[in-house]
Amino acid sequence: MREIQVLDPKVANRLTRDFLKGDAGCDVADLVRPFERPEGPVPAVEPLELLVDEAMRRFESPEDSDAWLSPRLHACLRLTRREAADRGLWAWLAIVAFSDYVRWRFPGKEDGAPVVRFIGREDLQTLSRLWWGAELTRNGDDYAPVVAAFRMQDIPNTWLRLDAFHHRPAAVAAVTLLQDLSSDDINRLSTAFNHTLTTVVLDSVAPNPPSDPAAIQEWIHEAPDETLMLDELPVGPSEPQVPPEDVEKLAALLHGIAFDIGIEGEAA
Amino acid sequence: MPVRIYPYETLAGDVNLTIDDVQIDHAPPGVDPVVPDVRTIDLSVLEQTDWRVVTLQLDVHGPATELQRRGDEVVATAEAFCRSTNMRQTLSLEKSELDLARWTGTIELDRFNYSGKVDLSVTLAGAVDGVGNRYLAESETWSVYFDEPPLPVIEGTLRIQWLDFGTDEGKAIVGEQNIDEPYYPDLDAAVPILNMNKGFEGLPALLDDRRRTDAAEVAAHELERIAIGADVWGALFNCSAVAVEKVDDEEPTWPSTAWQAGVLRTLLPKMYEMSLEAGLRQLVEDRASPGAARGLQVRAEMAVLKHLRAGRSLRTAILKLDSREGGL
Repeated sequence: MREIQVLDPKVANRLTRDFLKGDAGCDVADLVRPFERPEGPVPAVEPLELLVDEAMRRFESPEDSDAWLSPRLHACLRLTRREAADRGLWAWLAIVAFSDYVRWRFPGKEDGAPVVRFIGREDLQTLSRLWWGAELTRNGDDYAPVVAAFRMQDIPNTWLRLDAFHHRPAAVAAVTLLQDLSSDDINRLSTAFNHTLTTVVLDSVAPNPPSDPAAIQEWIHEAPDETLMLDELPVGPSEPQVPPEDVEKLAALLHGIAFDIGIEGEAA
Repeated sequence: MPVRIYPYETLAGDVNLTIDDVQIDHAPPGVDPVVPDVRTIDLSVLEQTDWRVVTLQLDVHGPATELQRRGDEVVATAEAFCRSTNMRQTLSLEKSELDLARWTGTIELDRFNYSGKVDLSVTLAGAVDGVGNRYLAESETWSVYFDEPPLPVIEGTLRIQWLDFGTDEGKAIVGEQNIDEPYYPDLDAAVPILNMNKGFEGLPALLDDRRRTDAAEVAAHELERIAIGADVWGALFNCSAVAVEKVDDEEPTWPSTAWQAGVLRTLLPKMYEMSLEAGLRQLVEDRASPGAARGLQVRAEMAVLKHLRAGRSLRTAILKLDSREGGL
């Protein structure tokens, strides 16, 4: 099995227009270094290849593939957050392993796929946005909120960047509530929520549960079986789910904000 | 900290956060990583490289008179936030039974969850006009570095590496075309490095850190140090300024590369008399406008000279030269 690797930041200087358009390759052999992990298996590329190929085969609309691929990518590419913070990893995946997928998902215009989709920040880069979206919206081992989040592109495009989304009860509550809103209302509510948090202390409303590093380590040491994920949603790391009463407190806060800014329907 | 105006009365006094104890893997560290003067914990100085958990004993003091006057229940929450890993870990602190204005607690940070810099602060919240969980005050932020800080914590100067540009090692770093140059900044590295040419005749002697007595030597040392520093810091600023991302009408975001954010945080306050966030917005506006962009370059150059204390160095050089027999 081929192990994932990491690219040096200097790769940014080698992304030509022809490469972005898919008309040329990119010689980065001298910029590759191993993915270092002190203990535990290094993730392999082959399971990801099967899933990415399936996503491109199964979905006519690249945008629609996000909700399917995001939880599966996260379940196959088992990383600690520290490891996932290495931009060189995402650069290697996008430039070396899955450049065709990047161009398929974000074809761009006459200049080809935008550079940020290969080496941009985590909410813009093609593969890291899927991984981080899943990491921030899963509820313990349950990926159902991830699927809901990616069905509305405004969530990965807007809400993922809010500091509030790092508060898991808030993220879970938001994903549930946002499903019934229009794109405009989703964006209005994100702005209003952000403003509210300048005066309301989120952790006083409901505590943010701590992560469980032991559960993550146990999960990382298990080899994923991507062949079981094609039609079934995978199961994430066995961290405790957010207590329902805490999700309800955040839901109530969000409902109140929605009402205050005149958002109609289920949300209000 | 940015200045904010709230639609209600908040606490005017300070909230002081101190770190009373640090443990690494539940044992005292061999080297003390705490730099209290700059509210920093630099874990990259630890001798053990395979450590896993850092435990911090927190002690918080709020404004006693105001808190006593409130008389109600104010809660303190510590927050550790890491931008690189999107990790937000919080801890409800325990209020002292004897002192209404004091809270303590122990927070444990797992290395697998963090990378680079972690911001650690404490927020006080309470009820305002019957509405609970309202922000009342916050402490200054401590920086906890899980990896080597991009700029040295104390001085904010560059890392310097001396090597002979004419050797194979040197050529591999600076390129064949630069082997006769006195210096070469490497801004592609995770931590920027200024490579100085050991093979450049007389340069090591001119720039080394030994104490000098000869007036001309002092003058030459100071002037060359400033010239190189200004050139390199100018390049650092330009790299960092273009790395500020702004998408549509959203607020600009700080560069995700730690050293670039560090350079802007160092220079922006010297460029604009406004908060850091407002300065970042102004930078984005100025770089987009051809007319303002020229002014931006001048501001940046002056900020660099202030950062390097160029005026002081030049005065030192002039004084030294003037002190010789015959003066200047």
